Parts: sequence; structure tokens; C-alpha cells
Amino acid sequence: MVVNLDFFIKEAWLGIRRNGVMAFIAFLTMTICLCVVGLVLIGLINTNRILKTITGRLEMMVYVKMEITESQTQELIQDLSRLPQIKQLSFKHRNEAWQTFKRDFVLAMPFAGIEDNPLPHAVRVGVYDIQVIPSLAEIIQAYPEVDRVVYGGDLVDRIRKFSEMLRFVGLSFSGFLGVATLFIVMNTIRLTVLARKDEIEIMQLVGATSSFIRWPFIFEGVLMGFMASLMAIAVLWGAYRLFLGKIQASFIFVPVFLELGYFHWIWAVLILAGVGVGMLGGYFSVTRSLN
Amino acid sequence: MIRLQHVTKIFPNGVKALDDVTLQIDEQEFVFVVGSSGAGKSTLLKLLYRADQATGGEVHIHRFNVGKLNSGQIPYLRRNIGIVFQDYKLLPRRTVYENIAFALRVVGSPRHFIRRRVTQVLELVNLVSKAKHLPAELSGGEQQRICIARAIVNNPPILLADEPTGNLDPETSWEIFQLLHKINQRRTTVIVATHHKEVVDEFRKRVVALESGKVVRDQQLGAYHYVQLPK
Repeated sequence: MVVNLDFFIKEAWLGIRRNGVMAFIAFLTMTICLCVVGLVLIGLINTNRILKTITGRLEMMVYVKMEITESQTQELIQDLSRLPQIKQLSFKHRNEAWQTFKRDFVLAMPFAGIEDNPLPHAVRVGVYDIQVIPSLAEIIQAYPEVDRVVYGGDLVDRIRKFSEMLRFVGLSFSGFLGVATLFIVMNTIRLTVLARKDEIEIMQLVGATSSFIRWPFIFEGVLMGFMASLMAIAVLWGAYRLFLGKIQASFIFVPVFLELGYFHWIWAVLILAGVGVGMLGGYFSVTRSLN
Repeated sequence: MIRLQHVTKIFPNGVKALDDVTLQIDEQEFVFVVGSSGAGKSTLLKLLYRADQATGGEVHIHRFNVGKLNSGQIPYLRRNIGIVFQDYKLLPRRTVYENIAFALRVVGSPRHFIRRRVTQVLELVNLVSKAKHLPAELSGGEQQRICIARAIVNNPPILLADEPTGNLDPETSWEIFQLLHKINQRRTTVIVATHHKEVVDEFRKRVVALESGKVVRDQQLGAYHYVQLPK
């Protein structure tokens, strides 16, 4: 096996060159398929991240009216603490909130002209169970000091549904594309197999084992798959460089994780998938000719 | 040693190619298998290298029960058998050297061994000078000698030749038979299926004659047609 590695690879490359057009088509289909898989993976990672960030905040913000003072808010907290659904209450001073806000969004908005703090005092309400949030929000809203109750429950739900849909549609679409690609690769390599029918026959007559005969074709598939996965990675990487800025600008309140670190394992998955599909294609394409 | 016991081959279309053939061929023998077209000569050889399977009886070659081999074991049987074809079956896009080296490469021989061994068999068939040529640049006789070189490059104990001179003129045929004889003298069992009456008569080797799938004659020092041995 090791002795013959260079022989197998040389034969595989010869096979690709001999039916260049078909090999190129197979390479393109594979690249497209891998790009879709890559996009689905990136989408899944990001929705999962967003979900985690948001569900980590199982809480609501109660904003009091502008005229309510700090001590009045403290009294409100005393009242609210009697509600059994509430796990935790904390006061958030309007100045502190303003500082945070300015720091977080200094790039997104010009604050230079705004000197007056437009924010009210707020109370952060932690709950035991996400289910109670809508009804609890109504109760709190009824207090006269309260201006607005804000919670992310609805958003959480929607993102979760989107993520589930993405997983289902994306993965089944990738699966479908994967099978289609497998067949195209099989047929491409099958052409090489047919072109070498005589060689295979002679190999069998001089005592080559089936696995030995298979290797060059498996390598041909692996080579195609590997090149296609590199191409897909290049395409996705280029698209990322091009569109990242725009994506982050439109998702300003949501953490979008498109940093290189998270991509390493996506690249690994794409290379594995490409090489795997190529391998299978090579294996199956030659099997029929061996019997 | 090769043993056939009550071997029958009936093709799916009902044609009986071999009919109860029992035969033993010892090591280092030289055997001509003669008979008219369709008598079963090719089928007999194909059963030996398991290109086909008997429908009845048993074929034994050394320790192999040929009919019982599974597909994974067939390559190991074939490494004991060199095969020479009427149409040479050389790879047209590879040089003479590569055609012969191919047979060693597929059994995993190391490169330095391949180089030495290919040169040896090219010397034996007297074609060292044509090593870098493509098969199409060679004459029929030369191509057949390359085919023989490829068949013996693995040093198999058995050499089968199916009508090796079917496409060659008489003079060249003689050379081919001389070569096969030379290989036999180097302790290889040689079995040749042939129509070539003159050669068979001249060589006086063992002759197995087939007729409609039956062995009708099995004679040491035989001729193409039946001859009475002098008393």
C-alpha cells in the first residue's frame, strides 16, 4: 500500500486529465454543494449562538416613567418583591445605563450632540420560568410608576423556530445535494473506469486484488473532493470578507459570530465531506467492473 | 500439479463445452491441448485460471480448489499462473517496459526488483532493445513475445497459452513455440491450446485431444493426429 502510493496518485491524476470536462463538471457541482453545506453550518452556528445569548437573559426590563425618582423606584422594588414568580430584582440607575449604552454603540451612532440622558431608571426582573414572563409583564405594567416592560421571550421563540427550520431545510437540502453529487462523481469516475476496462481486465488476470484495482479510482474521487472542498472554502471565505461588514451592520443588536476561530471546524467538516463523497464515488464506480 | 476430476461445463444457453473431463498434469510437463474450434480447448484453460467456473466436477491446482475459491482468493491463484493470449492483450498506451512492469507492480513488488526482473525477462525473449517502444510499433511476433514476458515475469509455476500463434505466420510461430519450450525447460509447467499441427507433430510432447468437450486421446510423445507408437 505504502509502496504503491505514488503509483495510485499518478494513475488517479491521469484519470482526471483524461476526461477533463466531466471531471470539471463534477468538481463544480461538488463545490456548489459544499458551499451550501458551509452556509447552512454557518447559519446554524449563528442562530445557536444568538439563542444562547438571549436565553441566558431570562429576564425582563421594567422601565419606569421619566419623572419617577430613584427612591420611588426602590419602593416599587419592595412592592414587586412580594410577587412569587420573581426570582431576583435589581435596580439599574439611569446614568449607569446611559454610560453602557454610549460605550456599546459608540460606532453605530453619533452621540456627540446628545448630552442629556434620555433613559429612565429601570428594574431588572429575573424569573424562575420563562413561561410566566408574558403574564407577569401584564401585572407589572399595571403599576402606575411603570412606563414600559420589555422582554425577549417572543424573540427567543422566533429565533428558535427559525433555527429549527434552518436545521431541517438546510440539512435535508444538503443531504439531497450530497446524494446528487455522489452520483455525478460516480458517473465521472465511471468514464475513467470504462476507458480502462482493458487495464482492469489485465490487472485481474495477472493477479491484482480488487482493493489494489480500486485504489486509483478512490484516489481520483478523493482528489476531486479535496480540490472541490478547497474551492468551496475559498468561495465562502471570500464571501465572508465581502459581506461581513454589511451583515454586522444590519444585525447590530445581535451577536453575529463570523470570526475566523469558529470557521476552523466548518472548514474541517467541508474537507471531510468532500473527501468522503469522492471516496465513496470512486469506490462504487469501479465495483461494477470488478465482477 | 493440476488435477481435473469429472469436469463438466455447460453454458447457460445449454451448450456443453466440456463433458466429464478427468486429467492430471504434473509439474514441469509440457502439454498440447488440440482439437477443432469449439472442442473446448479455451474453456478448459479458462477453468484453470478461473475466468470461468465448472458446472460439475472439481479443478485442483496445487493447494487451490479452483471452483471453490471466493473472489478474494482468485488473485492469489492467478499469481501462480502466467497467461498468454492469442491477441496479446497489451496496453496500447504503455511502453513495452511498462506493460511488463505492470504485472509486477500490481502484486506489490518493490521498484528496484521490478527493474531488474523486467530486464531479465526482456533478455529471455530477446527484446531488450524494444523496451521503450509502444506495442503498436512492434511486429505481431514481437508483441506475442512481450505477452509471454509479462506472463512469466512473476515466475509462475504454470504457463497457459491459448492459441498463442493464431495470428502469426508459420516462421514466427516456430519462434514462439521455441520460446515456450525454453520456458518449460526452466521448470515451468506449460499448457498450450493450439491448432498448429506441424508444431505439435514436431515437438513430440504430451498431447490431449478434445472432441465435443470430451478427451478422446491423451498421449505422451504424441502428434496432432493419432499415431501408433512403434512397438
